Amino acid sequence: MEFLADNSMYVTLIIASLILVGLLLYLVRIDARLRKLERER
Amino acid sequence: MKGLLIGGATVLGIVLGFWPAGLMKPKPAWWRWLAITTLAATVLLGLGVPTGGDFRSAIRTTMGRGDAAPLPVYASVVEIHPDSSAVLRDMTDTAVTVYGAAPIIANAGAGKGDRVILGISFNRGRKVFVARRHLFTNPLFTLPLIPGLEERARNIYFHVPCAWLVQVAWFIACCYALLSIRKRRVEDDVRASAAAALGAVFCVLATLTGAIWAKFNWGEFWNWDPRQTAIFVVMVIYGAYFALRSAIQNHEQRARVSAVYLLLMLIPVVFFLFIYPRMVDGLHPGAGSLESQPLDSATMRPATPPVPGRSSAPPSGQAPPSGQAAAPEKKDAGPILSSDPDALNPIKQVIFSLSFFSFSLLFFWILNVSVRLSLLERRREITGAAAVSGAPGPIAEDIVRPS
Repeated sequence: MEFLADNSMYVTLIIASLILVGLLLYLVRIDARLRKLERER
Repeated sequence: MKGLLIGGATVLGIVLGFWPAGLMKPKPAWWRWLAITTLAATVLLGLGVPTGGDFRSAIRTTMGRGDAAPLPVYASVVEIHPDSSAVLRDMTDTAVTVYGAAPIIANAGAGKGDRVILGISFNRGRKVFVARRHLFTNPLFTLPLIPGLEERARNIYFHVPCAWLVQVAWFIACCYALLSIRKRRVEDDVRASAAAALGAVFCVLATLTGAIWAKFNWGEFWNWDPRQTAIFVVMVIYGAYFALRSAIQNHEQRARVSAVYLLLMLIPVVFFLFIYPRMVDGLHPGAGSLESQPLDSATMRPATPPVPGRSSAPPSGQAPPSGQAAAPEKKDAGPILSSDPDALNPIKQVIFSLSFFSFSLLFFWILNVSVRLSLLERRREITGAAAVSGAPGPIAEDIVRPS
């Protein structure tokens, strides 16, 4: 925590990558739905 | 100029979200490339444009911190002394002798007349500046160092567009909800629910990123700041929408009930995201700006008692020092909406506009894909049901018209 408080760039990196990871998880979910459709075909 | 830039980028992002191809047909290649390149530019500029402060801001920020955490100072090299110190002149024309700077500048291949960003700490005991590391030589652009925020100031390019899209998503969902009630088309229900689902994703992301930022600026992950409270309420409103949808089996009934819910909740969502945080005093910049503040007769500034132990650090150039008892110096609309053109650095205005634009395109891209997928699922569901009941197949084509 102290390291992050002193090196504020890493806080920004965590926040930016969190958004990326969140959207990626949503992409994975969409991909799973699509795969289910394709399997039924 | 600032309003035109940020407002224009926001409007353009939304217009390009619907045009061309709408939400139900694939976006053309140029559109996807525009989304990728602007998003990449946002990340590169947002994280990459170096921060460089002046000596004064470095003193204020390094107060109470060890030498291990030097601050970036943007200065031109005036003189290099043989005793390994150097005279540097910062952007406020303050010339200062910095110890240990000469070898660091030489190692970086820079010399007299170059502009450098050095990691500099202020030794409070001996009252001298000490150079710790080289960061940049002759950067094309620099962002001002904001004491109390430092590199965390960059979060506005990622956290703020997320929060903005929460509102955009609900509004888009409302437009399709209205269409769905009037025309009773399946596509409208699909588009409304897909927009709400994506809005909920951005709501969670805005809350989480905000909580992390809050930990380092306000001391706790969760402070029940008016905006934090508001986003929590909006998250519950989003959650109730999906609970409502999953509770109704009949498709037509579900479409109608959830559309009515979306429209009913538009007022609370707008209230909690836009009005409530400006009515109540809080930690976010722009808090309480609708409230008339009692002015202090001596300073002609709002007489607001400081919040103990919290550095709220409004991202304006003249932010209070980080540390104890730093209250916002004056009540305004915050750096984005403020009418003061100096409240947001011009380079920041450009990156911020770019981030709003690119996040909008990203939002509409994901929305486009998920709408198309939901339509396929719905079509599959209907043909499946038709096959079981023995009814002829093409009903689905009637209900889900490829327009």
